[in-house]
This record gives sequence, C-alpha cells and structure tokens, in this order.
Amino acid sequence: MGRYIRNRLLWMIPVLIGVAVMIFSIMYFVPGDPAAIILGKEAEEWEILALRQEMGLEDPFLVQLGRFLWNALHLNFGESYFTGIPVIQEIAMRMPRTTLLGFLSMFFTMLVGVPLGIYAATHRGQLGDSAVMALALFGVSFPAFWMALMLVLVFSLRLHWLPATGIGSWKHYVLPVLASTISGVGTQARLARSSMLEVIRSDYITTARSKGLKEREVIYKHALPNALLPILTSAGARLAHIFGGSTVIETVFSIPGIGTYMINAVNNRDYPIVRASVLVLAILFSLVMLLVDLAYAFVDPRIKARYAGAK
Amino acid sequence: MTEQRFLKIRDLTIQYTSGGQIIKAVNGVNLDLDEGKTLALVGETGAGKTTIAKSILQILPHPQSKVVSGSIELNGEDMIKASEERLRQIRGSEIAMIFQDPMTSLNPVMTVGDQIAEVIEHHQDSTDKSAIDRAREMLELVGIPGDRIKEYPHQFSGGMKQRVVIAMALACNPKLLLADEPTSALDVTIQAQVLEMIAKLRDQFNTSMVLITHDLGIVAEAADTVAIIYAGEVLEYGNKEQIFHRPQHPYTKGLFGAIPNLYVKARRLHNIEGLPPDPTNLPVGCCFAPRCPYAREDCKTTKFEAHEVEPGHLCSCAYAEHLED
Repeated sequence: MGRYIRNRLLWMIPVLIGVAVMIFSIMYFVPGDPAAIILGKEAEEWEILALRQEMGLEDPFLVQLGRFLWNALHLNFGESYFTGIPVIQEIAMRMPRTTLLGFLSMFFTMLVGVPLGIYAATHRGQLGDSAVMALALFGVSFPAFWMALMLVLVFSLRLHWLPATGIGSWKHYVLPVLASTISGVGTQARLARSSMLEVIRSDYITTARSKGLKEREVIYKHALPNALLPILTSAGARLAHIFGGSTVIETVFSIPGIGTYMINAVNNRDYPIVRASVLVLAILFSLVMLLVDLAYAFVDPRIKARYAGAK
Repeated sequence: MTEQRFLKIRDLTIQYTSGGQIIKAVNGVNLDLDEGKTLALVGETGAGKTTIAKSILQILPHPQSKVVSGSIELNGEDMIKASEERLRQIRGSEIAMIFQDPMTSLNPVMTVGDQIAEVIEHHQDSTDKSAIDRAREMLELVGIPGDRIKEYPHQFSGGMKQRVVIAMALACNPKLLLADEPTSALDVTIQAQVLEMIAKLRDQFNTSMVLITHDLGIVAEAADTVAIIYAGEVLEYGNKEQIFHRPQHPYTKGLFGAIPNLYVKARRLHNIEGLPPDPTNLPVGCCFAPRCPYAREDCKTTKFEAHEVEPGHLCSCAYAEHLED
C-alpha cells in the first residue's frame, strides 16, 4: 500500500511537468504582449522593447521555458506584473479559501445527495422516488451562477440575512456553498440512486435478506458499501470540478480565491499568475484523485489487494 | 391431506408483473415435506422452482412479485400471513437458503467470518466474540481452515465460496434448508464434494431440505420425495422409487429419456420437442399439451386436476395410465 502511494506520488512529477510545459507554451504563443499592456496605449515602441528585454520576454522560447520550470521547482513564480506582489504569497493567502469552499460544497453535496439517492432507490416507483428525481432534475437544470444570483437576490438583497460578497466570517461562506451544493445535489442523488438500484438487485442482497436482517441493515451494512465506489468516483470528479469551476462562484460572490485571481490574471495577461494558478490547481486535482483512489481501497478489499500487489 | 406436516404448501400461486405483463410463475402448487426428509424440485430453467423456494422465505422481489393465493405452512404457521418481524426471526434461523451462484451470493466487501457471524449474532443474542468463534467452527466444519475467517470472498475459489455459503446457512441449525441448485455453478469434481458435505451436515443436524435441481443424478442420490415442476405447476409428485421406477407423466418420461444410457448405443440423445410455454400466455388446457407426443384433443382445452396413480404418487396427466410406451 505504501509503495502504491509512493508510486502514485512519483507519477505526479511527469504529470505536473507536462502541465507546466503546456500552460507555459499556451501563454507564450497566445497573442497579446504583457509589456504593451503594462505600459498602456501611449507607450512608444522602444519603451515596450526595453521592458520586454528587462522581463526576459525577448529570450528564445526554450530559455524562457527552462527558466520558468527551474523557478517553479523552487516555488518561485515571480511577481504580478501589475501589483508586484509575489504570486506564491498571494496564492498561499487565497488557496485556503478555495479549498475550504470546495470541501464544504462537496461535503454538503454528498451529505444531502447520497441519502436522497438511497431513499429514492429504496422507494423505487413510489411517490418519494418521483419527488426526489423531479427535484434532482431541477437541481441539474439550474446553472450554479444563476442559482448564486437568485440566492443573493433573496437572502442578501431582500432579507438581509447574509452578506452578498467578499469573505470574512462564516456567514460569507453560506451562500457560495449553498449555490454550489444545490447544483451538485441533483447529479449526486441520481448517481447514488442508480448505483444503489444496481446493488440492491445483487444476489448477496438477497442473501442478506435471507439471513433475517432488518431492511435498514440490509441497505446500510450490505448495499451501501458496495454502491459507494461509483459515488466516490463522482465525488472526486465533483471536487475537482468545484476547484476548477470555483471561478464562477468566486466571481459571482467576489471571493478572493484562486478562481478570481486566475480569471483577473487572464484578462490582464498577468502571465505569472495564470501559470502558477493552473499549476497549483493541477497539483490539487492530482492529490484529490489520489485520495479518491485510496478511498476505493478503503471501501473495497479487492482493490486494496490489487494495490498491494502492484509493483 | 389435512394432517399437520412439517412443510405444507397448498395452492400456491405467484405472479410477477413486468412491463405491464403478468408473468404466471407459479400456478397452484401443492407440496409436502416431512421432518428430516429431502424434497427435490426438478424442472427446467424458468419452471418456477426458485420462485417457490424464495416464497417459502418470503424474499421475493417487491413490488414486482405477488403471492396471489395459497398457503405455505411450516409446522402449522403460515409464512404468507406471518408478520415481517416474525419472518425476520424465521429467516436464517429456522429456514436458511443456499443460493445458486456462490460467486455472487457473498458480499464482496465483508470478510467471510463477519458474514457468517452476522447471522449468528442476529439470531442467538451472542456476543461478537462467541459469534466469531462459532463462525470459525462452522468454517472448519465445511472444510475451510479457521484462520481464513478474516479473508474476503475474492480470496476463495468457487467451491470454497459455496462452502462458506453452506456454513452461513447452517450456522443457526435451521430446521429447513432451501438449496437452490447448490452445485450447478461448480465444477463437476467439486459438485460431488459439496453434495456429499450437504448430505453429511443434513444428517448431522437432522435438517429437512428442499433441493432444487435439474440434475436427475443429484435427485437419485439425495432426495426422498420428488416433485416434477413445469411451467409453475407440479406435474408429478411422489417418492423417489415411484418417480424413478414408475414415472407416469409424459414429461417425466421425457426427462428420463434425455439421460444418456451406457448400454444403449445412441447417436443423439432423446430430447423433448419444443420449448416450455410463455409464462405470460399459458395454454388453456394442460400446460405440457403443446409438447406432449400423446396429447389428445381435450388435453388442449381442459385442465385436469392431479390424481393419485398409486398411494402418495400424484400425476397431473389424465391419461397417464393409458399411455402406450
């Protein structure tokens, strides 16, 4: 098992190098000159050229790439072109907010979605099932940003219960987490339901019933652990999606997280920030996937055996 | 037939609904079983054997299946009318079931020890420790080393898994064991071992057994009485000698005709022409009439009640005594 984790962590190195090369190259070849943007429209040709030389933008591509990778290895992502604040310092400050938001959203999505799915599966064809599925359809159909705007409209502007923007106390997290959760619960409930339905049909569930167990024991002790694998997969994908898509929610609520940081940087062609943010999100993503795969082993002894046997 | 038997099934009729269609799985079945004896239900796939067994335990899938009529009495107590709570007491402790496919009938994410101990804990108010001890005992009884108790089903072979299932079924000394084709998913060499073990344990615990199979060889070895099931009906019922030496129903005769004979040279095995009837659209008359080589006109229009051809030997074919071989 330890060997498996070590191998997976080692695998992250080529993945991250790949991501770093890709993001650097994309930003290099994309049209738009940071020097020109920094100096503004009135700048003379020679001023821009001088700045480009100073920033190292006139060096050959490979030299620039090498410099970027070398610096990234030392966690040196340079400074923002505009504010001059070191990127890594800014990321360290914003990271916890995005991560907290992501984990909270996923936690509540699972907390609500999975039981709803189980309920629907065990009441298949009955009114409760239809109600849950209709609700899920609504949840899936409303995009997160629209949900966010509606929540702000009701809870902040009309009722004045919760702050609409920014980050400070726990109250600031309620609406973003809620918006993100509502849009995720539907998918999660549908998935939990179908995965549960499949397991309930299994022979070992009939075996469990034939032992005289209570229906509750049959569902939670025998069926749920088996239904958990696809649910875990989607939870991992969901978490990754939340990190990647945090941009939308963070923008709507003006939360100073990685998402807003990155989106502003993209608009300003603030290259160091874009590159660093993408790289950090890639690390986060890889770690989440590793966590999901480890959770598999925890749930299913067959997968654990495979990991232990892997070289 | 009013005296109390150990297991008495009367007029059992079960239907499934699927896609708006009604599937008549079991149609007016009568069966009896005495204590310590083995009743074999013999029939083709889809004849309704498993449905009968599952209905005894009341674990048919809900809400797709429905017991339309009939009674299943175990020592005079009707399983169909029993409360869910009473049924939970009965399941696993008084009646236990061995399922067809050992590959899928064990929970893949629970250790075999826990799965055996669970049924013991549930029925015998025992502590975790004593339940696990008993589970280890049961494993050893079925020939698996006790120290494998912490292993998961995927670490066992098919035959071993079926042994685990048997250990689980017998853990609470059930009075009635329902064995649903316990060996059909296993290798022929393992089949004999498993059957032998079931027989040994059955004698040891004086357990009655309903044995479901389509293998007449197994019936000859293990059964006391035999019911030939076809399209959810009992076509012929009697003790082993009666069925094997004096089969009356054309279907039963057809089944025996399909067994290869060592002493007769045959290029092809004899088979019964045609397929079993569609359970959503059963024939009006005798359910076997469409395939019966002896069928007469009224067989196709009239449903005959089973009658006694000799004491204890029931046959649903009205013309059984008049068939020329």
